[in-house]
Amino acid sequence: MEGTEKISLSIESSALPYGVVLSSSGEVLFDSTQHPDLQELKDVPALVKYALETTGRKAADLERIAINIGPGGTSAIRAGVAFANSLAYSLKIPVIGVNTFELLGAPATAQYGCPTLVTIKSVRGHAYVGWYADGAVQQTLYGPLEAMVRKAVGEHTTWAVAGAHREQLIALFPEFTVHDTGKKFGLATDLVPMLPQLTNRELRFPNFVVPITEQSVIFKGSE
Amino acid sequence: MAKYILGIESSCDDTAIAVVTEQGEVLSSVIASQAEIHSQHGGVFPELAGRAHVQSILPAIEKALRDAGITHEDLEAIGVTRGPGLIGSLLVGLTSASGLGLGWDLPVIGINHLRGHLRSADLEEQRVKYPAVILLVSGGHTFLAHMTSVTEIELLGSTRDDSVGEAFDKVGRMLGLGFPGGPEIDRAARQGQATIPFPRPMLHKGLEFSFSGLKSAVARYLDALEGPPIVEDVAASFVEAAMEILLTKCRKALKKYPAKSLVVVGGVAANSQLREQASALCAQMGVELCLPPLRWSTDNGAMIALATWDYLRLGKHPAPVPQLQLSISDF
Repeated sequence: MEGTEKISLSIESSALPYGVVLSSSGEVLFDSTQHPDLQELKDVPALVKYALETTGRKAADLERIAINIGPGGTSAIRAGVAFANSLAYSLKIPVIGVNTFELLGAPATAQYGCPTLVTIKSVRGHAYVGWYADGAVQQTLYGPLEAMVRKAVGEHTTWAVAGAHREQLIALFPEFTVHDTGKKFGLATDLVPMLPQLTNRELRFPNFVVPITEQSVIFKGSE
Repeated sequence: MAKYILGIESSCDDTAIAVVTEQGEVLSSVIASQAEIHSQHGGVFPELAGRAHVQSILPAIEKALRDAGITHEDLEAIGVTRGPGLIGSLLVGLTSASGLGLGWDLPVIGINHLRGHLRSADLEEQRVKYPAVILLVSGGHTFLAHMTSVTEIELLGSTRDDSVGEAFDKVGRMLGLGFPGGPEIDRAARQGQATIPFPRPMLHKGLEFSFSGLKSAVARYLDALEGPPIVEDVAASFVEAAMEILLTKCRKALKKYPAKSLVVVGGVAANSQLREQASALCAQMGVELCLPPLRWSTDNGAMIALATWDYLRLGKHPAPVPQLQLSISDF
């Protein structure tokens, strides 16, 4: 029955404006990117409230929250993660963290049928680099962009590229077949089809998600 | 049945949560300190502060509710610092509070951190007698205000540059005393002689403060030395200058504005010489000295919670969004 069915909240937090999606059984009920008047709103709690009100739902209807935990815009991710954690805690529902490499890599790999290189800008010429293939992130690196990309790409000659440096990287590898995904950031709607596969990652307090940073364990030994 | 406020403070480097009644009774107060993280940097490193807040805020909230022996159903509202402060730190507290408010269907009120400090003197017992002169001395702020009631405040003067707490931290770093500098400078100063004539900037100019010149004078003095400094004497001379500035301004304010009490709040209120000299000044001037217990002098969630009760009484409901520039007269 409408209003009582359980719904999922998906948040893309790696860049402003946030992407906020409500879904039920894989069907998107609300997508903030489809509301031009919301594109200036940088306040994730306000966006979620708007989404719930617009769809006639209440916070208590939520059964899980999925959020992009980065890497990406550090302040935006941190605020989004803090909100997702506390909302999940208050409702006693699970929160699921998805990294930017998966969020950009999974749909691109499905679309192009090849691995996907994902790069995210950091400071001092460094970048976060991820290699997505065979349904999972295979490698994550942090360091100087070109060196990390060459390490991630290895001997592969055909791949898709997503993230911040697409044009630069296509120009860097003229001999390879590199598909431009056209995506700099992820989409919250891309989290929706991933949800059924993420139940094993559900965290309940006292566990919660934390943002990915250059100090995260997945980048250890990059350089 | 009594209702409670959950106070959340994350404006700088401590994640602080408390549960407080309308009368100022503190049922619980949890502070997750980041001192160890920032001591390696000689001061607060904003990016690391934000990261640490994300890790500590939910466990601190859970512990505060558990220590208070209440559930969210016993809460009237959530009060959270909205500024002034570090944007990355504020955002964690604000968005966390908003998440709780949405899930628990509770109002979330964005509180002016400075009003929290002013109310810290009334935690656990009603100490302040109005009208009062308030001296707020912390790492982020230094000002004098006049209060005619719990919520009616007039700013008398503030610092034009560094706060006195910032000067303590920087001088502490110059002397190799670690971070935060306040307690160590206080300890060293008590063992030294105030033999160095450091300047007292703006001593006779109204009720405004300036500590940048004093801090620079200490740096110049140390640079000019050929051998190692006598740390205790430098600390004693610096503290003497800082105290003379603070106490001279307090005396002026007490002469100019009607007051039954002088209230000293903020982290520097922990300084033993400030407490002693303020006590002597109040005895001279015939006013009562109100010093909150040391645990309420530094940033804490209880002061935010108590201020939230004021906001509720007055029907003030600022949104829980960051506002970096707030004056003491703002709600």
